[in-house]
Amino acid sequence: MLRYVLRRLVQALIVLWGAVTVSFAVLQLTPGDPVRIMLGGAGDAAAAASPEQVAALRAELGLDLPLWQQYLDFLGRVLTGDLGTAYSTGQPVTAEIAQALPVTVELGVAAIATSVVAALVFALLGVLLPGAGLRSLFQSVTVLGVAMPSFWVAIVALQLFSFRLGWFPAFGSDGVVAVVLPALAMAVLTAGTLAQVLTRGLKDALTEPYADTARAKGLSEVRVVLGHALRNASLPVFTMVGMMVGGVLGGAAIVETIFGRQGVGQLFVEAVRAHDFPLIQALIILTGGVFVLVTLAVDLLYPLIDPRVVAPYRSGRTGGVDLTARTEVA
Amino acid sequence: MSLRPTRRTALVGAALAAGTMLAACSGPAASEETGSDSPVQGGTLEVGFSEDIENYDPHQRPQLTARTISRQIADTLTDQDPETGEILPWLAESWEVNEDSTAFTFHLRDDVTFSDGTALDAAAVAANFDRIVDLGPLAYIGAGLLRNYDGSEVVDERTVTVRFTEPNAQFLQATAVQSLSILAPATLELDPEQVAAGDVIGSGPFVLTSYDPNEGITLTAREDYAWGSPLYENDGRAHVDEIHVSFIPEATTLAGAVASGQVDYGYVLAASTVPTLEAGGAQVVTTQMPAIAIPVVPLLHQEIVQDANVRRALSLATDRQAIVDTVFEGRARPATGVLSTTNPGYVDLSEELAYNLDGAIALLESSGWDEVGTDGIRTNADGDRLSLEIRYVPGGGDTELMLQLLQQQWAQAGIEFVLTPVTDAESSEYTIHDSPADVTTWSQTRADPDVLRTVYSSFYENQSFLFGHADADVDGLLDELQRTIDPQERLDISEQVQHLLLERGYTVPIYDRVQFAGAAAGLSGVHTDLEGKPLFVDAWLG
Repeated sequence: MLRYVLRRLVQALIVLWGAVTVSFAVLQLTPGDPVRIMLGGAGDAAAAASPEQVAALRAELGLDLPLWQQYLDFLGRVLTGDLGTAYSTGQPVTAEIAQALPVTVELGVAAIATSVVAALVFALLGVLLPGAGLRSLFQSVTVLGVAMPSFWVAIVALQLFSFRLGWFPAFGSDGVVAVVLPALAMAVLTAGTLAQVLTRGLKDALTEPYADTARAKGLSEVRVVLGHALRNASLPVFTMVGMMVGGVLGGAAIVETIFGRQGVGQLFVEAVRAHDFPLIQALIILTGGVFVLVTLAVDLLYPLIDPRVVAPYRSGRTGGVDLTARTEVA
Repeated sequence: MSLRPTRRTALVGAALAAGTMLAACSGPAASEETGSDSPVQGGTLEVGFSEDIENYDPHQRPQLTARTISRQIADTLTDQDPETGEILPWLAESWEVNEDSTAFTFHLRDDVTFSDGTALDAAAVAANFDRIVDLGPLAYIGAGLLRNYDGSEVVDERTVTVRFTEPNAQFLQATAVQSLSILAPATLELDPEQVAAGDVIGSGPFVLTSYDPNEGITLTAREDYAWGSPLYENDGRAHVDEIHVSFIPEATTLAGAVASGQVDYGYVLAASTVPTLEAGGAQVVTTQMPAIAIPVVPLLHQEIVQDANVRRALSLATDRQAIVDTVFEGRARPATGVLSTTNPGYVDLSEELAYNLDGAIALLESSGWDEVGTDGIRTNADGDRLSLEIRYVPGGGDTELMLQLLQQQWAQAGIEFVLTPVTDAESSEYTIHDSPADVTTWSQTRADPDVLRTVYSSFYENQSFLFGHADADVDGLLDELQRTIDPQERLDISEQVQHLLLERGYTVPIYDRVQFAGAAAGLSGVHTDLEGKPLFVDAWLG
């Protein structure tokens, strides 16, 4: 197992190297001069720095070197753990990210926890409530969740719960109350998706022979669902939650901007706008790293949830768990 | 001076009732009778800024929100009256300028200390100017104001003489600008990165006590402050104990936060959020910026606008009133000169800016644009179309709407106006001298006619639209401006220049820039400096 983990980590490094290299190339190909942006004189705005000042700064940042040399310099620095200084603020990028990260982690944990709890509640009610009408009502509500983009939820939640009712602050990252609305905005969409997958899984599981066996033993439907079906149905949910962790940053960019949270998502948006190369690269390494680690963790934990799944480090496969394996084994 | 739009003095409503403020309320600023009439001590002022602060060092690159902080924590040698444009004593209680505007001697107050306890002296002032010049590209605005700096001589403990190798008449007004804020010697010795991160000590009414975004940005009132600007109603300790700053980039969130009282002061508001905010009972602070009137400027490296008739026709074909009515619903004024009405150098040239479609068409025809195609666009004998392109960064909304209206208006005269939106990043790929566009738009806030010299001369490659296309008459007058210290003479010269600029079509002013801030009903006393930055020393929560 150790060898497997090591191999995966080496692969992760290769993935990160690829991501960093591609983003380096993309930044070179997209228009934009970081030095001019940095000096505030974007394009036509007069009163920018003089050509000598621009040249001096360009040299200071090493941006006057040939591309291959900039690229190698960058790789060399990364290998020695030096991610450089952000162009826009002049602060070390590690400090910038360290400052923003807790804000996003708080939001991400809150959003994912909310999604999972909400998905569980809706999916369970969707199969357990008495009466097909009620059940299908709960199932259709989850479609609404999928249909509402997070920026829209954010704006509606702001209007209602903050501006009108004054229950929650509209902005900031000060304390638990401040995370409620942004977490809600992010969670609605993912909760909807999760609930749908889970409901589908539960319904499938309930038609399986083992469910009939359980019922034949005289177990109540609640116990069949909670004791047997849920565990089977939660496998794809588990994979999806793993993907969500990796995807938190994307969702956070929008939500953090709307709610004025100084998190990693907003930092990313600012960095791209300013062509702040060191910051962008560090953020790509961070998000890529998180994604790789989460996928690895999911793969390693999978067999613990469903013993029928062969642990990837035993089968020799390196990819994620193949969901079709479940039905074959069953 | 600031690259981003700021705003002129206006004051929050209740202050009018008190009748004690220096500044006047401009435009349709709301004046609700809220708050208390006499200042209340204590409390925390919640402030929301529309933009994150990237750099707290006032000497470094200018950013509106950062300068708003530095306005509270640092003072300048002089201040400038928003009404008259007059330069007023502040840290310097008096000054002399030599005959040819190359030596400026300042006599400092003797009771000023920085918040670390060190006293303000001549050596500290000299060290500030030296540092700005040393920072070079990092402090390009300040370094530009100190162009041709020869050094500062410490005459005695309270007297410093700043010398230039060339005449530099604009320098006196420049000492009122945030880029030349006077910081403590201890701050000047730090690495620029450290200062940028927030390690700034000044002599202002507030102290930046926390600048870690996770802990919150907090300014604390300085107990022993006693040397407020003559523009401050309160020259002692601030009324509030603390200011807490949040960053709210989303315009509707910021406006909602003001309307619901979650912040006491929101700065800067998007024009689109103003009507709702006003209807909701919050106070809207409107500032007419002491700037250039927002123009469309021909880029003279493009052949099509090298013909003065075409440039003039653009101006004649522009119905400015219709533009401000649509874009700002009457909250901004049409341009009536090259500079905005609140700029001390303003001259009323509204007759030359009157809408005259027939006049525009006549000029175009006399320049050979006399064929009108089936699409309504003019062509000349060579078959060239009279088509102009602009590249602009959308975002704000106001600019885009203005350009769309211009497009419709100019089409009436047979001019095609092509609007090409670009990103900030894309626009950084070219300068005003190699832009693929034919015209551009820009803004700069500086309450001095010197803004004309830097921008409409041919003197500076990085700043001057006429660089490489010198107009000897314009350059001559602008050079004289730099050598003239007498305020009235400066105004006379700048008036002549403005006439020339319009006559020869070097700029097509459209409207006077206006900016909005919002104050919650419970806030009193806030007014703004000449650039529209709020002066929180006078604010109280009641």
